[in-house]
Amino acid sequence: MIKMKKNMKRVFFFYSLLFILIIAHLLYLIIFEKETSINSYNPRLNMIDNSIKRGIIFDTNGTTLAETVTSGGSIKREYYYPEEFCHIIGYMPKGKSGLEAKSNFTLQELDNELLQRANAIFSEENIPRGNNIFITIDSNLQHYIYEKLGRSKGAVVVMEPKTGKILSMVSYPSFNPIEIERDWDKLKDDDKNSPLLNRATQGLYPPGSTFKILTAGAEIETNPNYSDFSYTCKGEDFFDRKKIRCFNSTVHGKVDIYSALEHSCNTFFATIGQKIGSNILSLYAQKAMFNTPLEFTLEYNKSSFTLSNDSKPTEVVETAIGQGKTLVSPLHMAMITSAVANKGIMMKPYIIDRIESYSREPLKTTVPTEMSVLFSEQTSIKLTEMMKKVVDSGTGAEAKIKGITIAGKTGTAETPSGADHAWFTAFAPAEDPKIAVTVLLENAGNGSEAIPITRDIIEYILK
Amino acid sequence: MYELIILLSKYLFLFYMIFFIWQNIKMILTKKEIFHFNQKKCVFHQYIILILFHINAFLILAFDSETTSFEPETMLVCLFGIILFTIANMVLRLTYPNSDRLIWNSILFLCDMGLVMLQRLKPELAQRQLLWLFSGFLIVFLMPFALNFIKDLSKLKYLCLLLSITMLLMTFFFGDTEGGAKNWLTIKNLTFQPSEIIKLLFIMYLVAELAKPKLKLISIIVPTFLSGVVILFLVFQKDLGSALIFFITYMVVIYITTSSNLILLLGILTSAVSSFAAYKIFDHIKIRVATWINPWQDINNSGYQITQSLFAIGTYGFFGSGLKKGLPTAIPIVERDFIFSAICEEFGIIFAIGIILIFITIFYSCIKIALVSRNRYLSVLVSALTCLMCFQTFLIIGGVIKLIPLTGVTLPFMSYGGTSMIMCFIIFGIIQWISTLNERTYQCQNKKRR
Repeated sequence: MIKMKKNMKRVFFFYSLLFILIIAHLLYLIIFEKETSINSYNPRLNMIDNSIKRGIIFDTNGTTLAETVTSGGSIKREYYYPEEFCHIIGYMPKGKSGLEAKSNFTLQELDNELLQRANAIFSEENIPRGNNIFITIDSNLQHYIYEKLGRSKGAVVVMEPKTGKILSMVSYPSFNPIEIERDWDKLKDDDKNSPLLNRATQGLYPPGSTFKILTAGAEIETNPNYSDFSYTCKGEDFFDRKKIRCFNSTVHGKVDIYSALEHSCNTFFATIGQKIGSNILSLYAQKAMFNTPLEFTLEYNKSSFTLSNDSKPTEVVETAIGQGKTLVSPLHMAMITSAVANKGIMMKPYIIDRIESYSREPLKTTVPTEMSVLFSEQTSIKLTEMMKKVVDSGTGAEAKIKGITIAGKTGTAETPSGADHAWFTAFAPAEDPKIAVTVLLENAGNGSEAIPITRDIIEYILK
Repeated sequence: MYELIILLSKYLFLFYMIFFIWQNIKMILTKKEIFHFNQKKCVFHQYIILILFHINAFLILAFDSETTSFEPETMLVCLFGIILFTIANMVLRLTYPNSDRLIWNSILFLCDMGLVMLQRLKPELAQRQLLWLFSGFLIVFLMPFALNFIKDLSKLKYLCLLLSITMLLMTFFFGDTEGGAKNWLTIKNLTFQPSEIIKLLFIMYLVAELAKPKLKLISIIVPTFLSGVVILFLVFQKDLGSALIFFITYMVVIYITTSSNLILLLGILTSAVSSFAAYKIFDHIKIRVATWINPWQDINNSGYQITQSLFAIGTYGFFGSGLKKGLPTAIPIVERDFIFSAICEEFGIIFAIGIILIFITIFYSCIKIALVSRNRYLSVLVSALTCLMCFQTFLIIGGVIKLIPLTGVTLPFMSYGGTSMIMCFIIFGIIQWISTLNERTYQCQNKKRR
């Protein structure tokens, strides 16, 4: 009998543990998995939009980008730069996207709810208002870049290397969020142009020669005599029976790492890739946050890097020159460029600058945070020197601006179908980098078209 | 104004909950003789809280903001609720002298939260639930007369066995399927879930066999074999929840009575092997497990229900959306299996944790009754029934929050459902009857000593 009662106590103790597990799991859901509620299948996201005023979205100068207005009893969301900001701010009635989705709860959250509700009793006009968001983007710059991109498919990302602040992010083709309900079926089914896709964060492209920044950095850090190594380029060469050609089969002659990056010599970097091998390349890809979440606010896709211990030697060689299976988003390329500009330190990209209450009381301000250390300071100084040469006398010479030193790298990404994608990624001024600009143009042929756009953007910001 | 009242009520409901649990804790501490609080005062406070909660919630539910008036039908449900709880509070004292008041009050509170939520979700179901509540109370009120007449429940074991097997076979041959499981039986106009009744009857048989003071091997083997048969039947009817509850309760009874670690180990091994086998054989189990691991993959079909439940829990956080302000109706069959998610959504997570704490205090008090009982059979019976309820509660709450794969069982006293409601009342009627017996023998002994 006594033993029996002891067993009962044990059983009850076991059950208590189960219930504690339930409580712990509930708390876990609320504290750590709050993000899962932001899903287009959750009908609650739109629930209170008709009874409150969602928060306003401002640009960095305080220009209103999106706000909710009431007219004659009906509530409507207005967008003031609809096409320029469509991928950032997103749309609303057809599910939600962009910041409207990702910051939904911030925009809906009523600060000092009791007071606001009490005020609403006295006047119909006092509809409770959600929190306002200030984003890091300058609407003038955004507009300039949107116009500059014209009708070319592609994406532009402008970032502040020292902080990770996104100064501009444009993707084209765009759409008009005001007319989203009318255009929905057309937009959704347009697989050729995919206007709803934010190419800057969700588009994944082969990096082409821009990847050589990573290969060169890896070589500098792992080989103390890197500057003595030279190679004679014959325009093409065989690596394990795989033929690697330089762009247009140009013969570069005897090149070292400086001149090879300057003229984007594929055979040189293929040799380097073969020498340092897949393990070191993988290590640097890992440091550069490939295959890792970028923790960016907006919807994005992870860049992918597929080399492993059992990759074929030809694959290693292709990866080292940016072909192979590597895929990268324009945002991620801007982050890598920024890391070189910021003494090798990669900052976490952010687009929400601060959150304010309806009464303009500051609630939360984003603090820049480091994400990863990609290169040492020395390495990034060396890389900057090399990238300066690219613009000074190499493949990116068209970007030259009088009075501003620019460091950059061109890239041409081969695509299985259609013309190549063009990359240009750069930062300026090279001595004290203020901005990093990455431009990607889909099916634009070689890199030359992306270069003048980058030049104009840099000139617009710094002059 | 209405919005403001809903907002304020959100915090008021939380206050009721915390105050109620505090009274429960006070009563437990007094019983353990750590502190001394006035028990009667605690019971009375809980009654007041219950009525306040009830009126507060129903006023919000009854108010129609378009016509700015109160719906008469809802007010009627509110009134009948108050009458029911008041009568229950007074009358249960008569037939269950000296029973545990904490358990009664907590049950009433749970019932009321269920009723409020049903009124919120589907008003016509709330009216029917009220009817079930009335009948449940009537049965509980009358039960002691029958139980005192029978006195030794273990005598009924073969009747229990016979009845449960008949019902099992009837469901197997004539059962109706609903929600994927074949566990409904219709006799004339009356539809009920036999597995709920079988649970109680079979456990009464099981305990009668296993609680014998000198246990022979044959009296372990026969009940074990029969339990296996019942569990297999339930699995074939796709009533996985009931099958699991059966298995666990069987394990608990056998562990308590034999205190054999070997049997415990054997049980764990058998369950591991048989669940793996069941996983391999039955497709519906495979789907259940797959949706548990990743419900997002098939969010449109098999994952729809659980993801909607997770949205309901996660969207409004600690304090909830406020009564009537959420969207719990987006979850399919919310009134039965997912009532807990609906409460999480509108009353908030802290309130929901309060519900779990109330369940824990109920089960704690039940186990205390089992520990005090001098009669071996009754003691094991109470702990078996407690474990049955306890595991059922864990199974459904754990399921809707995606801690474990979802199995469709009801949340005691809160989900909509006549059979489940009445069986829960009968189970707690038996437990409380045993509690009054305990008190009686205790008092007799005290008299003799004097």
